[in-house]
Amino acid sequence: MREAEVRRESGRDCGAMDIITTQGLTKAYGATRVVDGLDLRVPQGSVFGFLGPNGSGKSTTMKMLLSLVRPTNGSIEVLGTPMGRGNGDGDRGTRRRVLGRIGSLIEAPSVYPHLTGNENMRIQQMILGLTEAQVRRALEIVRLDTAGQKLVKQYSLGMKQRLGIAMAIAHQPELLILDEPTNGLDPAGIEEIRELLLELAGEGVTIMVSSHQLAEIERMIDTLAVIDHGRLMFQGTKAELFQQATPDLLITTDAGVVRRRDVPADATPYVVTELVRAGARIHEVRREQQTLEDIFIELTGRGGAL
Amino acid sequence: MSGRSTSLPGFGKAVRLEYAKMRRLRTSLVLGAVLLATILFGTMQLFDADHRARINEPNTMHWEFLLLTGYSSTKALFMPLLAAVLASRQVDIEHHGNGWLRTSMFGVTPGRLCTVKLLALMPLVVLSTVVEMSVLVLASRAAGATTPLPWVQWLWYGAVVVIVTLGVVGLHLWLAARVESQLVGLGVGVLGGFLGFFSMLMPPWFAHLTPWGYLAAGLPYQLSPTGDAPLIAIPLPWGSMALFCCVMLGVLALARVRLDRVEI
Ligand SMILES: Nc1ncnc2c1ncn2[C@@H]1O[C@H](COP(=O)(O)OP(=O)(O)O)[C@@H](O)[C@H]1O
Ligand SMILES: [Mg+2]
Repeated sequence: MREAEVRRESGRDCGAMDIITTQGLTKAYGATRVVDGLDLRVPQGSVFGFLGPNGSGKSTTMKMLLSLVRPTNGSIEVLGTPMGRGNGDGDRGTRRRVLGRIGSLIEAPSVYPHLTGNENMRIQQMILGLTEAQVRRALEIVRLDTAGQKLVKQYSLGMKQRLGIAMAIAHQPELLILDEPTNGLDPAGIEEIRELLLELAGEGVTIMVSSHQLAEIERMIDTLAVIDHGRLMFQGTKAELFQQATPDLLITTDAGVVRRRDVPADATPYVVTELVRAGARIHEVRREQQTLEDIFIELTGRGGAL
Repeated sequence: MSGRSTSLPGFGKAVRLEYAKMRRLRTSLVLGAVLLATILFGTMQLFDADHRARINEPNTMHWEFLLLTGYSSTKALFMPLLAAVLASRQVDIEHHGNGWLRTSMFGVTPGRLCTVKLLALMPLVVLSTVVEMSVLVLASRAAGATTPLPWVQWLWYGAVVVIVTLGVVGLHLWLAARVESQLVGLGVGVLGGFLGFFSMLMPPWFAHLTPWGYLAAGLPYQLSPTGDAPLIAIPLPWGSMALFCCVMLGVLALARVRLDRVEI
């Protein structure tokens, strides 16, 4: 039903269509391009990881997708509808209709700390015209149905994030845009978010989730884009990312293990010959897949926190 | 797909939302405390037995003095701080709750949100002014005042209080939105209290220089220069208030547009 609707609007009927496409998406603040010519494609039904170091332009990109920030250049298509650049009054109605089919959480959960969880949901209910059942369902999904009476300022960070997600999903959106929902959470909190997102993905919701730490979202995503300084460094499935990187060459000698990075298969004999010439006694030559973390650090040239 | 609203929340709905957010902000407590203080200071003369004894003598000019030295100077002292506190509490929740972004999502830009907050505070300002002035009148009657109330001047001054308060609250909403540290707004409020109070004592041109001064500039009475009567009624200062309204509307409109341009 939902898919049919999406297809009808886009006028396409291929199986795996993209829910978000951007072309040359650019945002400049003064002379600095914080987002620089992004061509993103978020496939329908995917849990799409949007990775990049702090300050690489993730939040800015997501805000442009949600029409909160006006792009300097480029085009955006969401749920099969061109979003325009926010100038013309004519497309405002269309844009609002599309935005109504998206749930989002940008930068920090938009929750009022001086109110209880339930009162925050009431406000969202008033804004979006939600039914009681929708409110209850959202709180159940994020497992906050019992903590609704508590003031949000007494919530843990994880509970606040979950309340933010409840508010984002209450109107049953087809697309969920979550900006660093795992930031600052402990492993148990991250696991909760992961289960929650996978459950929603199972219901057919497309999810775009950003993070500056790959480890936090690696296990929940299937497709991903990596950006650095506003530029796209990689886009594809997790498997494609592995394929892209040449596994390390590991050579065990008397003197220890030599690790060579980026040695193509046809160069392997030369490396080995060279070592033998240098007098090394080789016990073993093998290949080792780099960790995703290593690949990312290579892509973005930054260590530690991506 | 049910229950999804894609329409912009209208002003009515947006104002109702503000009341939902006001819960637990102790807005009414703050208002009530200031109201009580205003009434206590404003009715001080009524506790003076001498004054009560002469309350109906023509030269006492009870109603005129009550408005001038009792109500207006108390108001000048307290209103600026109250405006700062009210505005800061309304806006601070948006800073803490990432609310600017949330409401932008539904097409309510920061400038529009501040306008809505001003509209939401308007009934409270009107109500507290009505209560304050009514209590002053009732207390005077209870203390034995039987002379007729110069109601034109009183109504006029009630309107002045409401208009000046809303203007100042509007400025504070803008300030609180732009400057995240709410201490700045409170500091400005305290300063405004002093300026407002001094405007009562200084020559009239001084009262026209700052927004707080207009509580003095809008007064329908003046201390008499000749000394025949201690106070004289002057023509209602329409010009001063028109000036205030024009400048305020211009400034607040500009502030709103500027706020809307801020990219979140
Ligand atoms: N309104 C703004 N004005 C100027 N620079 C901004 C603004 N918003 C973000 N930036 C800059 O853009 C860059 C990208 O920011 P952001 O999108 O928040 O990155 P991320 O979410 O990946 O950490 C940062 O260097 C930030 O300082
Ligand atoms: Mg960010």
